Amino acid sequence: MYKIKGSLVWLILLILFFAFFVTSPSLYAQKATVTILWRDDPDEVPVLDALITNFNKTHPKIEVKAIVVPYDEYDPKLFSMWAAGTPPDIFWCAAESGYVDHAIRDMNFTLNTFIARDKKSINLNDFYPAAIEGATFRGDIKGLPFAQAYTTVFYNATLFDNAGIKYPPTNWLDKTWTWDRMVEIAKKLTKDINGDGRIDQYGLLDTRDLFEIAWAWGGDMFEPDVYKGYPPKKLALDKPKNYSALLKALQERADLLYKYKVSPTPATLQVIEQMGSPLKTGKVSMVISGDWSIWGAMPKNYKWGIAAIPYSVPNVKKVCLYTDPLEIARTSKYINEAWEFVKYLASSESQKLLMERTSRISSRRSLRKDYIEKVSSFLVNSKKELEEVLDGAFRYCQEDAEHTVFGFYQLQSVWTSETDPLWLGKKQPKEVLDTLIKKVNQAIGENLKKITK
Amino acid sequence: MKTNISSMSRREERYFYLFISPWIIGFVIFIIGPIIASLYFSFCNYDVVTSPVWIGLQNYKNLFFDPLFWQALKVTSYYSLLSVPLGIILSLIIAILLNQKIRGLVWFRTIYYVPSVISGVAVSLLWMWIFNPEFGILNFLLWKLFRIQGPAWLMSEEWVIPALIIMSFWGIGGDIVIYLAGLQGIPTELYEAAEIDGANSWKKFLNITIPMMSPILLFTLVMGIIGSFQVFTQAYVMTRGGPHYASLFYVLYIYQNAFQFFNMGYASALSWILFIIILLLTLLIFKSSPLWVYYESTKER
Repeated sequence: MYKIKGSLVWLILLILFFAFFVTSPSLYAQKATVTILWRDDPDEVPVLDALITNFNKTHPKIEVKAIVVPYDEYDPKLFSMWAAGTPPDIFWCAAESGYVDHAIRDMNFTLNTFIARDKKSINLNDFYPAAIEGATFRGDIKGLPFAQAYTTVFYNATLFDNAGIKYPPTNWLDKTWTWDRMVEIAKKLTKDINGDGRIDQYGLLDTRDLFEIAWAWGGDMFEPDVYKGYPPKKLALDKPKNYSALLKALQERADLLYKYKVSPTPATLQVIEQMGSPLKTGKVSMVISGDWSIWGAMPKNYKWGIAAIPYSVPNVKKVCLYTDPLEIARTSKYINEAWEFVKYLASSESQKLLMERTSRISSRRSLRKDYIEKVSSFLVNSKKELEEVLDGAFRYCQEDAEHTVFGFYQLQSVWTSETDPLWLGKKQPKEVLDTLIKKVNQAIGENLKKITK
Repeated sequence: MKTNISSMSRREERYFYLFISPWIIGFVIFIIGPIIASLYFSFCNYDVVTSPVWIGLQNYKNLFFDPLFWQALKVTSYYSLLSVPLGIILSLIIAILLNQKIRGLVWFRTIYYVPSVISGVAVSLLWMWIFNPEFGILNFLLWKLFRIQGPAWLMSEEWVIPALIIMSFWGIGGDIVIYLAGLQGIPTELYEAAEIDGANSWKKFLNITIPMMSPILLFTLVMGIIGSFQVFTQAYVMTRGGPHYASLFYVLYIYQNAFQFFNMGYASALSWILFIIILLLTLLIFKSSPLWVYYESTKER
């Protein structure tokens, strides 16, 4: 009996002894472990893994580890790791919260001094000015971009060929390229192919959010300083110019659905989206969206093209740019080591690899020709035309409000719910807009209370 | 001899605590801890990242002026009020049918139980197809069989909850199995005696089956109400609370506040209100149960 007890005690001690060494790697290795939180995008993750392996090889004193979570869990994971006192050393606005949300909560480290110190190796001038703008909080740079997304028109060229319609222009300053002309083309491309009384092919799908169409019609939902990191106090829709712009934009979007019937209704769109990215299903001829419409492999049975955004109102061009800036946790134990990896991910070499594997555009201007080289292989446009489209997309752009407006996601969820009856054809734009303004302003008020306390 | 027994039982007690300790530790750390923490957070302004700031009853006061809180409560009660009784009636009817002596019964039982094995997300995606107003099979059948133009279901403010109630019947297999076990536990002599007294099927059902099944009905009623107040997956996957808040279930609203808007304090207050509501309802049912639940063993003693 005593013998058994004795050996049991020894066994437990032995286990504890090993457990101690296994769980405290710092005792036998002087490596800094840097964690990076990523979303489980099937195209991005293999590239990230390859880059990490490469980096770890060349940096013997740093070990980078990726924590990969589903898109929906990205923010909960980030915030709960933070609450537990073990934030990931590197993160980004991969989901709904933007770098401004992080900055107002004092989560991200200001990179100004690092950038000034390493200006030669980083070459900040190589980045699109809008990309750096899209990582700046009240004058401080809070992240270094590793990729971008831009907004423009993407189309199925085969459907244009079948209908004998000329491809849309690539020059952003082409005065004849107007919203009305786009709607006319969309009408010709909307077809009931098998004659069963149901539309099988739609002309146009505009996926832009409310703040984007407000921009496009010459208005704005927010005051300019709101995009610089100052929390909104109310919507800027009390200004008649902004109000009428958004009202007009809502009317136009509703007309696409119920007057011209060139866009799929929410019910049809749900079915199309379950088949895949709307453009790739071949059910939609033109899509206004971020360039994710052409990420990954494109179906071989169609030809594809991209075009400039049309003028919704004369002399106004403004689209959304999406910047992905890598942020470093302010409370990280290894800020210097994390910075090394951030620099590496933002370098030309890494961005080029990401671009080659995923068709994501780089935030570095010097890589634009490589991007054009890559996408021109599956687009009908000439390289010069692609250059033209990209030039406009990066010139007439402003960073995504989701990244730059404090508490954006909550406000967006309010206006998404409030516009449901409009897209379902149950209510008129004016009625919807008026309640929307009231409800969003209430949510803004609640948000303000949270940070003034 | 005496001391021997007591030392043995003491040792046994020690072992009891030793073996149960993984559960106790887990329960205290992962269940009791968060419950107490959430009570504390419900009195705080807390966004998860910055430390909580005590604001007293402010969250609870805000709640009463929050139209979405009332909307969530309305949606959830509406769903609960219809789906629970209908679910119980339907599963009881099916259980009685499955309790008959007919051929191939085992197959039917399996078929009815199979749906409840499939995960909520998969079921939700499947029903999104069924309910699609333009391409879904439900509206197709309504048109082909009855020439009825079906509603927009999940895309209609009026029909989204009825749609989700219809969908909830997908999972009645679990209740059917419980009812079947209960039905088989009713002594046949009760029915035989009733038949001798000349009772018809309906009378037998009303005076024997229902009273004998009442403890089981109580159990499924309580579980059903708790479950219906915690509906989340369907709404999260299929409607995201829409259209226009028409399917904003209470737990979905808690989730949005906690993990999407980062109002963890407010979400905690919402959770405690939900806890109190469920507690009160359950107490109400238990208090009323002597009126309608029949326990064979306690009667007439």
